Amino acid sequence: MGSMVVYIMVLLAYFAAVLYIGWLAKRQTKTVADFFAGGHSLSAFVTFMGYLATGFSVVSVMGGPAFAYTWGYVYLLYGPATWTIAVIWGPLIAARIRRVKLVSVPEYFAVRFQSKFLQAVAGAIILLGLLMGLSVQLNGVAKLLSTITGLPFFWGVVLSGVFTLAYTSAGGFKAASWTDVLQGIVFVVGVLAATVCVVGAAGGFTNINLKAATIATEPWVGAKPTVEGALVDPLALGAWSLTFLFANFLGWGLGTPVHPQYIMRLQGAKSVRAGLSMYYSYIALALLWICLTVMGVAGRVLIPTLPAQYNSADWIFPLLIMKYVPVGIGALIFAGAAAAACSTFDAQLLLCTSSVTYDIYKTYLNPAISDERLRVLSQIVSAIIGLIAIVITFYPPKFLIIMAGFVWGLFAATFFAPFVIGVFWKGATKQGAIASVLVGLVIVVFCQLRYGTAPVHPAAYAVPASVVAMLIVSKLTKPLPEEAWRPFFPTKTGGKATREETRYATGD
Amino acid sequence: MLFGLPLATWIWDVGIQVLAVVVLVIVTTITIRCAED
Repeated sequence: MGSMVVYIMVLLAYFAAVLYIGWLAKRQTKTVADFFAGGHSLSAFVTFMGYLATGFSVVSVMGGPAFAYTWGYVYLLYGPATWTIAVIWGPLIAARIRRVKLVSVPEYFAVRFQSKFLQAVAGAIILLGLLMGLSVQLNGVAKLLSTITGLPFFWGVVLSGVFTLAYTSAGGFKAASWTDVLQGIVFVVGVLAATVCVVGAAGGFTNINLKAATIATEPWVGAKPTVEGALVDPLALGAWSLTFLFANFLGWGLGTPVHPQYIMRLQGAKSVRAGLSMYYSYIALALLWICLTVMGVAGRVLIPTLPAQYNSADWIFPLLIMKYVPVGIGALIFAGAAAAACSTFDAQLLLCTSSVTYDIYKTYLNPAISDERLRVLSQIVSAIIGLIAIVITFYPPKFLIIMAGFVWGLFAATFFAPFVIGVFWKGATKQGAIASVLVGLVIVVFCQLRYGTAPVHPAAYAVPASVVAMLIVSKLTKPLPEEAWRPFFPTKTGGKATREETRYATGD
Repeated sequence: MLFGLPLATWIWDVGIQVLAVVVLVIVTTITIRCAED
């Protein structure tokens, strides 16, 4: 009971701090560009922390140790390494995309390809792709809350949803970014402290590895027993193949640098240089991933088979914290895990909102709407979308569950070609972009519904097809005028790019 | 074996992760230096 009080006190203090930051941000949020892109004013440090916090969702916090608990060190190759390799070329694309100040990701299509149709289509893709993601995060944080406090799951979802909605709807992108700094710090300190405690409890790093090499139990009751030695083998003794890992990389990896939530982090930064600094967060991310992996393997040494009431490895993280970490640090870690979920939720909520209000409503239905009215409308719409996400968490529609499973592949299939080819090839045309988005979309949805993600991820077919469509159709159609592509390309003499940049900076 | 972990695991699982981060940091630094702000 005493420890419960500490958990609740720390969580309440943390929630109060986040709400206070949200309120501060609200006072500085006056325009639509402020609400969706932080007024393009954030420093390199805030961008760095924002990337760190958004990149680490509740899926990685709970799922990382769970994967390592079940399969061992191969997790590093399967998840983190694949992700890092995928973004190695991210800075090159980012440097070009950030040359123009965008308020939303789909606005890129209106600027680079002069296509409002594509802007609306991209808005719809983001909305559908991320709506389910919102409820995945809510689901995760609510589970944590109910584990700690004993609250019913229903109230966990409602409380965490309303809490995140409160600061995001009020303060927009700035609130999300500033709270991400706090959330990132809580998260990093929490994970490092937890790793020290759990590794200590399991007898030290060397001891963990020596013992893990001998484990041959089932990870949870009814699961396939682990082959002896697999936990410390680079590919879990053949359970995972390099071919599979490569297909996985092609599937969702390629979409990572053009994922809307990272493009908006980039847009929120005050300069190209500040924006690019977000990629340095991989130094911290790599350290955290290694910690979570070691924690998962240490968990297996401490608890070779999960108690019968737990039917999946997802429970290992909360179980380790409750059992092996002192209550004060444990509370901090739960706050950190909740932070990971909230910071992903807030970023995705803003993306969904801008898709509806800025890319679809303003573009098609009411181009004359004033900046002030659009900002207020966006605040209302973000609250409505958040409430829909809360309802979806209780009653998830089938098609959205399918979407959530392949959302990274969906963004790879539809955004890879227009973003990458668009910023590196002046000859990319409007028709080429429309063809690439539609071809990618149709193939990825068809393959997903027909074949699922195994053995080859649907995006592995969709991305090349989308690239080919872009190249062929662009060659056959009329090139766009120089004003469309010029802002994205470096000038020969250096310096800033053009009136387009000024135009989009002011949100006119 | 190093700290009870086979060398192959250090190289494939830890090494590739670390190498990828090093390359990413180099690419980022060069791009930042070349960026027109």
